[in-house]
Amino acid sequence: MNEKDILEIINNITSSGRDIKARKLSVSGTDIYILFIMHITDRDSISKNIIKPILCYKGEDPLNADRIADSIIYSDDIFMDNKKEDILNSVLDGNTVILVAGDDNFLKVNTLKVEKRGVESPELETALRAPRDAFTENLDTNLSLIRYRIKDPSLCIKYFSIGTRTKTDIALIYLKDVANPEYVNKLKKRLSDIQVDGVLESGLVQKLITGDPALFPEMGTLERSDSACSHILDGRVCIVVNGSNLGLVAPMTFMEFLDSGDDHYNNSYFSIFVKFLRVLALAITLTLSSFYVAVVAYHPEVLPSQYILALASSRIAVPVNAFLEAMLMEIVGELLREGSVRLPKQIGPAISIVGTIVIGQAAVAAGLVSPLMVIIVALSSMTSFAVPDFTLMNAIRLLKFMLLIFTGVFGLFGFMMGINIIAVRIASTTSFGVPYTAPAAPFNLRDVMKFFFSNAMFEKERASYLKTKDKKRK
Amino acid sequence: MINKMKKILLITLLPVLLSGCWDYEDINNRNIALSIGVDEEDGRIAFNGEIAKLISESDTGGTTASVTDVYHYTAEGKDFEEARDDFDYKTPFLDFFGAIRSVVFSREYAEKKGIEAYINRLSFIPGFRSSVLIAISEENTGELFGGKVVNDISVGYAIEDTLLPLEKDGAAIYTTAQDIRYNISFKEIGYVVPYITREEDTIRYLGLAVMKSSKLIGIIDAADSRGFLYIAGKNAVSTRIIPNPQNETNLLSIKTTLKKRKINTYYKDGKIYINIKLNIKCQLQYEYVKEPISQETIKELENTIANMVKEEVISSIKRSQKEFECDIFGFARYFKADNPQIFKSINWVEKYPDARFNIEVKSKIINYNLIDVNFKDNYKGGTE
Repeated sequence: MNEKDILEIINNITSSGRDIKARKLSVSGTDIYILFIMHITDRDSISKNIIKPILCYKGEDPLNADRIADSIIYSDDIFMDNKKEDILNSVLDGNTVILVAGDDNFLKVNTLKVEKRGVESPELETALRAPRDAFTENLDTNLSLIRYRIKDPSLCIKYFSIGTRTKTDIALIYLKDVANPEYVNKLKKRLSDIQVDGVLESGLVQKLITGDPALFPEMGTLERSDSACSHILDGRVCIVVNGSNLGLVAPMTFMEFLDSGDDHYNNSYFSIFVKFLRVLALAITLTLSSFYVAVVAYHPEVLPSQYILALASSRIAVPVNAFLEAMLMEIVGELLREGSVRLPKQIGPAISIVGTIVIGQAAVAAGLVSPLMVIIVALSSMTSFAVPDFTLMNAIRLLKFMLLIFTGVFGLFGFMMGINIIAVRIASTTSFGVPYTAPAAPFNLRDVMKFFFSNAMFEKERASYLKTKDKKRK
Repeated sequence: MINKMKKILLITLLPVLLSGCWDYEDINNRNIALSIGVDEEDGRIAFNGEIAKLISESDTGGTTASVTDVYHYTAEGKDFEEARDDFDYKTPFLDFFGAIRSVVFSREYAEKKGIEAYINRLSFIPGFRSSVLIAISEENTGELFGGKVVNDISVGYAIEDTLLPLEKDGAAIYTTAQDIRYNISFKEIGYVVPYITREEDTIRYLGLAVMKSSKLIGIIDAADSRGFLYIAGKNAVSTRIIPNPQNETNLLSIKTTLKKRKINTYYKDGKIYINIKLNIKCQLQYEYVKEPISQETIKELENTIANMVKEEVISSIKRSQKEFECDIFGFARYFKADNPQIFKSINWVEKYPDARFNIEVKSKIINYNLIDVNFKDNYKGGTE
């Protein structure tokens, strides 16, 4: 490229309001042009490691790209190229491009530097006994957290760049000698097939990978790095997206969403207890308000007569029927919940107090709802937090309303119909070929025991339904 | 497509097997009946009973617990249907019978009309629990349900709450609608129903009303019902006072509990033979005067108790054969099971009064309650 070509290229790529900076250097009679975007590059590094060494060159030989790369600039990541059309993309990727007049080759020096936050405690996947280093939005940081835990040569990280405009880096992480190649290849293919202009969060990647709108999540979300490593060791495949602090894991089954990860670090007996609690919590969230409607409006006789009287007397002043009461209270509960998620942290507690007083006491005192309904809504809200993965609970929260409508219209018949629909839906779901109901169906006692006990004996083997290459954890 | 059809079929068919009825009405908008009394007044059917009167929490200030009161209803007509219409004409809301605690027939009604018709009617009342207590009252049901009882929420509750612990303690029989239907279906036998009365605004258990062809034919006092309970009760427990064989002036309190009952039957020479074997476990509770008891005395006590129980059982059986002339214990069921062909060929009702019984009672004192039964061994030196 002669100087004229270079200037033409610079004119082209700096036009249209692009914030690309061009810096011209003249050393030993050679004109050198340095192109970079100041917002995503380490300017200090560019000055010290690229510009300064070039300007300090006192040699008599004219400079070319080869010489600059070999003996002048200080950088650990240099790539030489001669495709003019790649220059713009290289600059947009955060590289500093060095063009040398009279040389067809040019240099791409990695000077990417993006402001990032430090490794912080998890906010979604909190646990009492678990490491607190959560994923951040930076892919390299997240990969370093995994790498420092799994020092295994077979840990395989495959990179993808997705989004024609965002060119988001995505890493597929798995153990080569453990993970089932079928799942790995399936994920690779689906990632490669993604055609979209931009990916800003792992949730979008999950949607694009799974395709059809899925009611139940087929991929788990990861915030804790130890949790990601645990899944990788189990033989699953993790996906980490640059710019997203939540990783993804596949394949996942329904029961695995009830595992918080730190169960494995706790006492086995406690693990059984807490797993049953979570199953109960899930059932309560899904069915409690619907069951209330079914009992109050259709089948009070299923209760002992003392409870019937207590139930009837608690509802005597309520103007609306049980279905409307339950529906309205559940909607109010969800509104409060949605409100508290969006509210700034300083206002959150105030809203929860308002919610408690208005919904809990004033509504009962005003005779708008029965005290039992308040307990039910509070319980169903509380229990929805007991399941570690919020993506599963989102589905359950939606289904709760479906079940409520079915029950309101058809009574216990509708309740059973709704439960059946949900059961059939769960049973017909697969996560990358693994039945969603595993290990309950197809039943495998050992895997069920492994799920509930989480003790040392079962921890030594991998779940059979994952069909890993290496069954033993050794 | 086939897969989808299967799913739809599965979803729609399964609930059909598991579902109930379709009527929507909130429980607070229903008439919650707590008890039903069935009686006859001047040849007309009379329903009496109690319905829950609900008071909301907000009415009572919002902080106190809800108070549940009851009101008494009466309805009458020439038959059940007319009486029911009369009831409907004067009570608000839809009826809810799922909270009924007891159904009571007056003695007069049970004697004259019999309870079978109403028991059959109960089977078709939606939501009615077949585990509801059935009892017979000494007075008419209007009087029984006429006022409040002092020791419970309502009369219906008081009847159940009085009889249930008695049945658990083995001192009474608790018959449900389901039990009675089961007994009625076996034509050859009679049965018993708890007999109660209202006494000083409380409910008192009086004994057992003997039913033959679902009509009341006699009463067994509570005190005389032990023998019956040993043969037909779920539990049979009684506490009795027996003089100490070593010292007649000292009395021993002994609790006897039926441990095992075995009944077998056979037919020989045109007669029904019924063998009853009872194992009784006993507990020495306390002595009126504390003194050591020897192993020999224990043996003697065991024999005495066995004889007492045997006497009580024989007395009960004799009453059923001679006085009631009805198999109120349900021996026919055992006989039918043991000898199905013979049962078909004989007339049980006619043969039962002449049935022969062989009763064997074994009793064992299993708990001395710190009473020293080895005093001779322990105090050997002292007694010599």
